[in-house]
Amino acid sequence: MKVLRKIIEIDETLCDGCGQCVPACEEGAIQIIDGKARVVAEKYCDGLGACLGECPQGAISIVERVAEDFDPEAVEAYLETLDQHPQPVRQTLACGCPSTHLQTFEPKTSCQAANQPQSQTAGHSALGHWPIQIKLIPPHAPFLQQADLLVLADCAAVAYAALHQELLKGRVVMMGCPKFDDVPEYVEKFTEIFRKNDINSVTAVTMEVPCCSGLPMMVKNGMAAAGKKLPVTMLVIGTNGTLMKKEVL
Amino acid sequence: MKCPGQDTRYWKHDAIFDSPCPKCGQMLEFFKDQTTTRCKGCGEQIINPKMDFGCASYCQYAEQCLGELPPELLAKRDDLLKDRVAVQIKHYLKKDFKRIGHATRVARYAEKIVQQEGGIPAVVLCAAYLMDIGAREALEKHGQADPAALEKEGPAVARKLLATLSAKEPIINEVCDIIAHRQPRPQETVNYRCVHDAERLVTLMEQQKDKPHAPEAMIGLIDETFLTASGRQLARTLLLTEAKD
Repeated sequence: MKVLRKIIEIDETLCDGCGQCVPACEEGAIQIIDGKARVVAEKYCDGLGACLGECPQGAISIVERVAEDFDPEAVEAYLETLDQHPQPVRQTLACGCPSTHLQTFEPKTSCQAANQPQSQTAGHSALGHWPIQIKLIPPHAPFLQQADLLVLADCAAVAYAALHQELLKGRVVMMGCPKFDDVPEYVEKFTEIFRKNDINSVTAVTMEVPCCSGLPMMVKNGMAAAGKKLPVTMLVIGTNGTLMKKEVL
Repeated sequence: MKCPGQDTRYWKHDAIFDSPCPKCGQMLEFFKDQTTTRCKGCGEQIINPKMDFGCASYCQYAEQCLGELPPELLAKRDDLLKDRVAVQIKHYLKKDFKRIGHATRVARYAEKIVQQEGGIPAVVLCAAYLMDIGAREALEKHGQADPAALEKEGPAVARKLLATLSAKEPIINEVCDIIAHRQPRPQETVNYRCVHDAERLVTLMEQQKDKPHAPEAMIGLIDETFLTASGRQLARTLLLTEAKD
């Protein structure tokens, strides 16, 4: 049934297909089609605008127009179909954007490592996957299964010199800043990650500054919301780059 | 950290524009982030005609931005509250699509009714969105989210949510009062009557789908239970036209 109602409108000239709006819509109403965000069907969009603040281009707005009414039953059926036939395009936020393109890197074999020139050994990265920012890692990223998580405050990555050798190797790093980033959003992200994956262990690395204390908190809250209980090893790095404290929460 | 809308590095060619002064016609130059400018022709303080508050409906820093606006624009703040509540209700209800659908429809019809009845849109729309806000708490504490449980649990959750959005105390109090009782008292405010009729209309529409009333019975229900003339008229149009189809 068509009614006069509020519904989202996407300005295709502004949309660059980054896909950040896609996970914000619980109904799955927005998908990236041919490189642009599009409303799959009017009846899946409730018009409340949870996706509004997600678009970095400001391409999404709410308009009032005649449209098919929001249909909760149709949404349920549609989401069930998506669960049964997951679209491969959603694996990388559906946009092909390089910053969100999921990648796993093979570690160097002992032979490769032994044959690396001395001058290049300092440049060897222990990073095993991409992306690394908490915001960009989807809960279904394959590298999260059976992972040892390293939840790292952005500043700690720069401050702690032995990061690659001591902390990064063999771990799945997730970086963020509890002061500037959206903490409730991250708690939800961790909840989904703990819910959907069997995580082996969690190491949280923060700086000594007080605003960093939110980082282990959001991991613990996400874990609690997912009904999981894993010990979190917490490392505190001083502003001069020294390891100040190590404890199990 | 700066809002991209205010950061000149993200500005496009139309970020700086000319617009005539509405008082004397003198051309004025506006930057998109400039709320007002003084007209060199008549000396009046003129508001930026392209000032867009769309972002304020979801931006967590909206309060800081809006707080700096001139009084003429501050008046729009209460209006924006309903849009911010709409986004929050979605975050609260998550995958409860049935309640989301119900809330959006109640808000849609409440908006139509309040426009004709002359109530306060900010109060009516917020209450319309928040009628079922206590659903999760009701289920946890009472095992069911029936109207009685929603009346009991809803106001506290609504109060917290509205306070987070920096709603004014009188608005919070009235919204909480409305959602705390679904059965009308002898003397109700126009705001209450608008929300009541919108809620009643959507409930009847949902009942019509499952177990349709006969047109005569429906006319009786509308005349007896609706509290506003606009609500009654809207109900007759929507419920009786559909019944004929």
